[in-house]
Amino acid sequence: MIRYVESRLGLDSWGRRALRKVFPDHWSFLIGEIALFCFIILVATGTFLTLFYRPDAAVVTYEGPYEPLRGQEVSAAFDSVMRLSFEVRAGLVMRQIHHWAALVFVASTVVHMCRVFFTGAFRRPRELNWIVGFTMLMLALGLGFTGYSLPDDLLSGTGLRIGYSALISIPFAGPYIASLAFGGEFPTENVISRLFVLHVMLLPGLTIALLGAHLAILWRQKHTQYRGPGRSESNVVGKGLWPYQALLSLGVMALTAAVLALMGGLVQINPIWLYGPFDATTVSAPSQPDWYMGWLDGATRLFPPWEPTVFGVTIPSMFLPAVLLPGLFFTVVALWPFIERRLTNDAAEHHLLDSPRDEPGRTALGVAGLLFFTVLTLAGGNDLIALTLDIQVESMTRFFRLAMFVVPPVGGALAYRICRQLRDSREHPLGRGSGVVLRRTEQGGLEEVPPSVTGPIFIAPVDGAKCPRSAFTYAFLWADILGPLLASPCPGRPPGRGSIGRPLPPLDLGQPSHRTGHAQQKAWDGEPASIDRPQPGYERRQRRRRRPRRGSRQDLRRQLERRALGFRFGLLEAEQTGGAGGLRPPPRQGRRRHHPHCHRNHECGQHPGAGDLRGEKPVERGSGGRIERNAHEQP
Amino acid sequence: MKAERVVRGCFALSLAASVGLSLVYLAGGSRAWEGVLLAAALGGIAVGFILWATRLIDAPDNVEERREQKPGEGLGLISEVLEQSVTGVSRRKVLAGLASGAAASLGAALAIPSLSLGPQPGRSLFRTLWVPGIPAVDSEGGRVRPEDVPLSGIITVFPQGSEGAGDSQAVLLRVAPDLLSLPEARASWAPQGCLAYSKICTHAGCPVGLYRAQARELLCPCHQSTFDVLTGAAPVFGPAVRPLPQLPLAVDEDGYLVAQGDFSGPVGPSFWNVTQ
Repeated sequence: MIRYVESRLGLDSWGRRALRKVFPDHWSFLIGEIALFCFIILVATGTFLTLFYRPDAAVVTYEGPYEPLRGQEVSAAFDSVMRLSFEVRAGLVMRQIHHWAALVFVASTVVHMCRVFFTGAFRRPRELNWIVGFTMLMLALGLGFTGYSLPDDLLSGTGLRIGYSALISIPFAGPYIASLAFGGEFPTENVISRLFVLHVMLLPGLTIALLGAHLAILWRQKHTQYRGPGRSESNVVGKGLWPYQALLSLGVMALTAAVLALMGGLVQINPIWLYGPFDATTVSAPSQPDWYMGWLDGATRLFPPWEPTVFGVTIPSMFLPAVLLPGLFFTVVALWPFIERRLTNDAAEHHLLDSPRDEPGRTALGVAGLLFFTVLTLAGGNDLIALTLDIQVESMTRFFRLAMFVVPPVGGALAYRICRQLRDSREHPLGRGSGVVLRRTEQGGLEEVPPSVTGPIFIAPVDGAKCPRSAFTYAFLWADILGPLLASPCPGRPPGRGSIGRPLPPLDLGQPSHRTGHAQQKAWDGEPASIDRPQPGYERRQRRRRRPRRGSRQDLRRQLERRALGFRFGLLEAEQTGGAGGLRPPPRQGRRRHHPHCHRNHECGQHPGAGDLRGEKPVERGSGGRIERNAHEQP
Repeated sequence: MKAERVVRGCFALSLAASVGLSLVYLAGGSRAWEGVLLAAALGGIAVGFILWATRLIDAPDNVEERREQKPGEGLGLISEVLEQSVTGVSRRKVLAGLASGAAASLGAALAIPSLSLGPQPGRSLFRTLWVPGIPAVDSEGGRVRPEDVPLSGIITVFPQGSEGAGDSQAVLLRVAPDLLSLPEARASWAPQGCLAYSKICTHAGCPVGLYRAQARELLCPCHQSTFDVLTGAAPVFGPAVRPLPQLPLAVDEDGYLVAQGDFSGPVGPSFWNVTQ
């Protein structure tokens, strides 16, 4: 079978490369996949529902098995959903899975977007895919809104009515747009069939097209990865598509479907028979929309009674919270890659992800944005909260009006502070691998660096001990913030005792590094960036600067610098050997090998590094500051 | 080996659950059991595949180099190919302008028929079906006398013949006449303390369906806009700005309530020229 396809399409080499394509392995990269799987489940269950649904506003009399509504005049759409829920076998479970999947679809899309935001995965060259993903979020919101309006029940009718009010509030064009969209003044009869064609054809079609583009761009650009040993801006480290990633993804897809099936079977959602059919003269109280619309409802609830008329043009009180606010919010979100680029002046390509702490400003802004969303969402349930706490709904509204302005900045400032402290604490989650940190002593032996001064050295597991490493110690927001508050990542091993060498008081490794994330990566790459505190703007310049040409003057200087610092602090990289758990230096090119015994002078005569430099153009002294510390040139 | 046994067990469980799911369906169906068995069938596959991937396969970390995207190189080639379309054209800008102009006007011409989606709003937003002398009836079509209106509740009324009309619905209530402090011009609009206001909230158009009889306030359940019925439904809390338009009422010779005319203003949510 495979051979048949292969011989017809000639996919041999492409297929083999595709199956071996490398994807970095991290749990946070699966969130977007969950969104994709939710969409697949939505298409599958939605197709089933379409077979029974009638997009028809004609009035019929309900004569189904649900007693309380029997004999009532309802729309044909409502009647068909009732029939689907009560008479079609497996209909209700399908409908509930569909609704739950819709909620999880939007949720996983948003969480995926947060992951991309907080780790900086949207930066060049991925701005395009951010825009594509953002458009899909908009489509998802549209799909959600049109979908929950289809049953034509009382709650969805209220949502439509508020949507109509938001449309009509747009200055000048509002009444025309609303009339065109709804086919007249609300309530109208055509709106159900229009929502239907949007929900089952236009919006899903666009979503599928953009989904294809999203995945194709991802495939083409290769996935981002977190910092780690051996990872660089120019490679991708991870497991192949087949078999590991493919089987894992299949598993996650089935798991998503299983959870949704369980919820669809056991947890009631959108019981339209309790709401009753739509009636223009009644409204259910309390009425809340699906979760992703709640923040807009909350914003309209909190907005003060303010409706200025300027030159005869009234700005309706719906316009600011329900049209302008989401418009601005989403514009900022959509354009964020470009805004950040302008703010940081960082136009370089990035394939290594940030840890949220590495960019406190961005993290703080994201936290503030999420808190703003949360406060508004809670405000959307102010009547429910007031009912539960048995207080006046007016007090709740006043409280949320205050909270809307206080909570986001305070939370953002707190996040900023936590990030800064974490960043300066040297307790970077990426730096705390399993095992102990070792360094060369002046005598040439090895000693363990106490955990508190995790410097630019290396990480080596000792004794083959497998240290339990929670997924959360890696770089995602909450883990990132909570990480250092938790116990040592390697419980059971008393700190300060290595298996090789004898403990010595730690050497002074200089100032804490400016950015631990970058610094750690540079340590892994063998660069000494974290030893000296870089000048302000150093990082940025470094990122923009290209790697010097091999053999050029800059390259030479870099080598010299690196070697000098390496000797000064006795840096050494080591790796675990086999199962014995011993340590040996990693294989290196001869000219970079360290000679600790002669690190002050080159009397040994076999120092390859010294030979490398001989005969080359001499390096200018005193020009760079750093070069002065060159151990080779000291008298 | 142990993991392999677990994976086998998971797939077997999934298989059994799928059979069970079919049996439940054939036996008449049950929402809860369908959900649970479907979840078990999928969950078995899920756990099986995840364990397969993480425990059974020894997948090493591979390293793949990113191709360096040199700016200009690939781009140059594409633009060279695209340039072929204008070789042999003397006035490129004119040609390109005309072609895009033709495309744009074709697009506009094709988009224009979307205007048939709905009528021009015109003055319809300023009018309802209430006309002078039309009787106010409840949703069943029954006429209402002032003394039928409860002091602690509300009735939804419509112009006779248009029961259920969305934009003409009004909320009818009664208070003691000496409590009223309506504007001068509306002194005759509330016979025997009967007041009728548009039931459509001036904020987001929800029906103002809650009445706090003690405080004599109408409350919209959607966004908690609150209106004081004694002062002409002026908003006292919430995001609504305009008062609910009042329907001038009168009592005809048979003692039933009729309208003196249309509402005191445009009903429903505000729009840009609502004050004109």
